[in-house]
Amino acid sequence: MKHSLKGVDFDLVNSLVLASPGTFDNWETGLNGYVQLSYIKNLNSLRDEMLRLKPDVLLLDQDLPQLEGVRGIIGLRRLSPATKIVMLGGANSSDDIEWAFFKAGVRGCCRRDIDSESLKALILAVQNGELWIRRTLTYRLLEQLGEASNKRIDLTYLGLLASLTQREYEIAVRVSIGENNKRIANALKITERTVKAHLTEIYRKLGDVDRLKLALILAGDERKERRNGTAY
Amino acid sequence: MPRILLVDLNLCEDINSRVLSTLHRECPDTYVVLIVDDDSAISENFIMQAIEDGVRGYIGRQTSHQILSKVAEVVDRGEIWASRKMLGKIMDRVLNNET
Repeated sequence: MKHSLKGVDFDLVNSLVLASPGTFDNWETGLNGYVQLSYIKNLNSLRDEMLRLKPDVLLLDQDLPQLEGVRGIIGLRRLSPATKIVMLGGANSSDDIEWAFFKAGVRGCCRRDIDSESLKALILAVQNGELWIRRTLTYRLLEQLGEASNKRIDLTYLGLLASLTQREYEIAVRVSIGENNKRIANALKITERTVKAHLTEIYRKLGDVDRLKLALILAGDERKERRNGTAY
Repeated sequence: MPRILLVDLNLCEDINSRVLSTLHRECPDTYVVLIVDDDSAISENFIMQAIEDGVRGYIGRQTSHQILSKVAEVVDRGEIWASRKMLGKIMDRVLNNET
């Protein structure tokens, strides 16, 4: 039996585990014929089930006794890394808490009173690799992505910048603030040809860069120096 | 310095990672939304890189004006306009970068 989401067919979920101290009779009726729902009421049973069944999807209640929030989630993910975990919470679940869950690797958060039709859509979505996240949290994704990206660039170029000689670094800085070769040559009292030779060496050391990318790299380096309170 | 800049990828064939990241660096308060062909085979990798470069979302050319005003509202608040699938990939990237 296939189920459809946005025109794409999916096989039904092989196994869905619901770990919660509460009961959800309405879901059982709504999900009837779609998937067999296993109920679990405590963390120890859940751990056993994660190892035994390795379910496709786990609906995990934030209030499951002894879960201990993010730490518990990370432990459960270790037991079955492929299981998509969806957190169930109340109406007052804060952005900070939900974001911490996502950082721990959960693929969705929803309220306990979600109707069964929406739950079906959610399950298909997370199975399909989608993230069931409220839009107001997406700016945090951008922030984290930006930080990770900057960190990667910083780490890549930190060592490479250190390989420049003092004169090469000086020329790189002048290029980064928009000076042309002639102006650099005049300022440093060298020929334009020498400037070009230095630039060739700079580009060789830094890899696939041009004047603009060099400016971006130096801008990142300058920001780091300011953060560290040091200067060249 | 517009708040939102709609960039049609068909009209700006030279749009690439360097241009987008420079735009983001020089105009951090301008949020870029890409307009792509609805049946476009534009790769997820391109979109992922564009978002890493500061792009705030992407929409199809046939997007209705109602949706467009919703996009403007969402992006203006600093949020992303992207599919849940793309959000999933961004989250994967964030988590992978941290491990």
